[in-house]
Amino acid sequence: MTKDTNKGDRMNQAVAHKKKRSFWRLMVMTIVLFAGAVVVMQLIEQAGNDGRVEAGDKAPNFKLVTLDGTTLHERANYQGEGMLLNFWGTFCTPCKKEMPIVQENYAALQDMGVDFWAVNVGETPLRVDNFLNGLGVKLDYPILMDTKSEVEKAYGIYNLPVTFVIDKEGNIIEKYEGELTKEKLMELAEKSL
Amino acid sequence: MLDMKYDGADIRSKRRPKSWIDRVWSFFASVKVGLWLIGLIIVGSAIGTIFPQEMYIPQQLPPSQYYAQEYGTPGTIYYSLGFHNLYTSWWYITLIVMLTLSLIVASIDRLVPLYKALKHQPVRRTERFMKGQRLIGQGPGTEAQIDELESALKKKRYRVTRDGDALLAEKHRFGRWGPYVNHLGLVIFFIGAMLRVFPAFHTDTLEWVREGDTVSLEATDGEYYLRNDQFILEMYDPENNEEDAKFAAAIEKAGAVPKNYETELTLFKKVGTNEDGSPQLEQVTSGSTKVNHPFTFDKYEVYQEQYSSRPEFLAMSFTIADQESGDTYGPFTVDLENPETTYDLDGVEVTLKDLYPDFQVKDGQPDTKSPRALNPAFFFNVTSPEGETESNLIGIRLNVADEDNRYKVQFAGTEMASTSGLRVKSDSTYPILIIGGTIFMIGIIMGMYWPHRRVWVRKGEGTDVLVSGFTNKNPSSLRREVSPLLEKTGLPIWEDQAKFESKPDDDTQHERGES
Repeated sequence: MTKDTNKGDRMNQAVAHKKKRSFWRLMVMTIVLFAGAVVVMQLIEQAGNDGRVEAGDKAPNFKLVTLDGTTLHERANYQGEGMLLNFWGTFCTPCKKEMPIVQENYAALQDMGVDFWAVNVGETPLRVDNFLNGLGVKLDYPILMDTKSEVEKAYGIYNLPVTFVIDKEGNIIEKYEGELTKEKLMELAEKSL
Repeated sequence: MLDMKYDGADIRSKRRPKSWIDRVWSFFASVKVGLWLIGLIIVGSAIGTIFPQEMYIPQQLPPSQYYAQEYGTPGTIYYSLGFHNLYTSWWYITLIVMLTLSLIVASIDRLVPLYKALKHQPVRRTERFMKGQRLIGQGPGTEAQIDELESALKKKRYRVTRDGDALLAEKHRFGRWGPYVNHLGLVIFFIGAMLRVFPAFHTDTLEWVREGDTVSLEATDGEYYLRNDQFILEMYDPENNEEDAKFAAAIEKAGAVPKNYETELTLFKKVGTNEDGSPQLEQVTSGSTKVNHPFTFDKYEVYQEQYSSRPEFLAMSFTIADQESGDTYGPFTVDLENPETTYDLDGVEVTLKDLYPDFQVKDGQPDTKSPRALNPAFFFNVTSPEGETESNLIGIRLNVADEDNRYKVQFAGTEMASTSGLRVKSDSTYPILIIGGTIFMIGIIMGMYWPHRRVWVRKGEGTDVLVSGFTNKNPSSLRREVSPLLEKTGLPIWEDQAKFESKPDDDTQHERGES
């Protein structure tokens, strides 16, 4: 063998060696960074999943009876277009204020195909009944009794009143915390369609 | 002197980088980058202790509002950068991942060339190499003396190899792997720490359970349910307990001091679903949890962490006194969660008209502050057998009734329930953390207590013999070990080149700490 071919061999060997090394370097870095990315993704997913239902989530299902105990409402069986799911309590002043407004516009909402469900958080039917009688307005929309606070827990309710805007597919479009005005109510109803 | 850090071998990243792979590799192989990452992690961790972590803040407010309200603008910044959940914030984990990669890359980058250099080291080194060592001696000597040194070194447990007149004696080479073992331990530790993000390895939730209630445990994904059978709060009682009497003075000063918080529990497993959607539960076991003594089941631990200082009322009993005849009717019990509205007591009919679980007067009207039965008040109508109706508003320290009422409603008893805050935890990463930590310690011990020592001897020009020595730690102890042997065999004694006009035996300052 001449000196030249010898040198060529060594070159080839060096190139092959280098290729192999680059491959392993890439592998090591890819594996570690990929594993890291999986961990970070998991974190981001969990950050949005702190037990509180937010916009973008699926609306958790529930079955609740109305105040008069006659009708069972199941979220997943809802047939309408959109839905406004409201949580309230008799001890909450803004809840009391928004109720007549919702009642005034309930017919208009129904014409749009949007229903309004008002879930009472963990109170007795007696108290709710007295409260509604004292309201001075008869409510046509369903008042659902979450006497064991299970639905309240499932939705992670902190502040009252809160209204979830839910579309036909059962996705939460928006979570609105605060008292409803007529404009706000119609705006949320539009969003649910 | 020669740079003996990696036995004179080029570290891989120092070769000219050619491709982007090499560039990224070199970046992570750099010790400077590693130190920066460690620095950033330390600074981040330190900032994370300024305000409490999310798990330690009160539950009444959502964290987004809590930090802003409690700490103002710094609190808002703290929250938005994720410091409130430091150990699971994306940037903190990113730093840990980068440090892990840096440890792995830097270790491979150094370990491979070092391993190769030590594995294939020649016995006969060049004069230039030997004179580049820290311990070097030159002087007249013979091959017979080298042979004699060989057996003397063997007695000192050196591994000796010969190549004619050249000699290489070596000991504790494995001490050189210490830092890499150490890094391996750290990497395992970090992997364990990162696995904690996955619920399969680590869960941690706080559950508030009122006495008598059964709750689904979120940490177990609804597989298990716990019932709070009883919450026990014991106070130190120096008057009635001899054992406690010795603390009387301290208790006098501090007021009531709790002695024990304990919750008695029953564990259920969900075995199916009833038709109405409620879970079908099967009792598994029962036990109790108190501070530092968790209740354990499956892989979970239940710690007594908090309790609600205000117990809730479950039920209240009343009697009706007929002030005309002196007769008493009842008692009857009102279940606060699911109250009956009428109670028939031998002809006297009591009707519950309203029930305020957390009584207050608002705008002159009776009202409730919350749905929790903390301060209940009752509005009763009492109808006599003759059909006359009187009304009463009765609550705690409250009895509003007409002066002329014939019937008087009186408290006859209460049933109360405390609410216990239980922390439900599982952590399967402990073994990984312990293994990682152990390997880390082994690595440190290897590097600390087993200094790599090498002695080279060869014939030089003419009758001269060259003697040189290397160690990665504490050269004076290598000198102390081998110099007497050189003296005994009559070979040239070596000198410490790095030791300038310093005080004798002041070795530590010139130590080569790295390996």
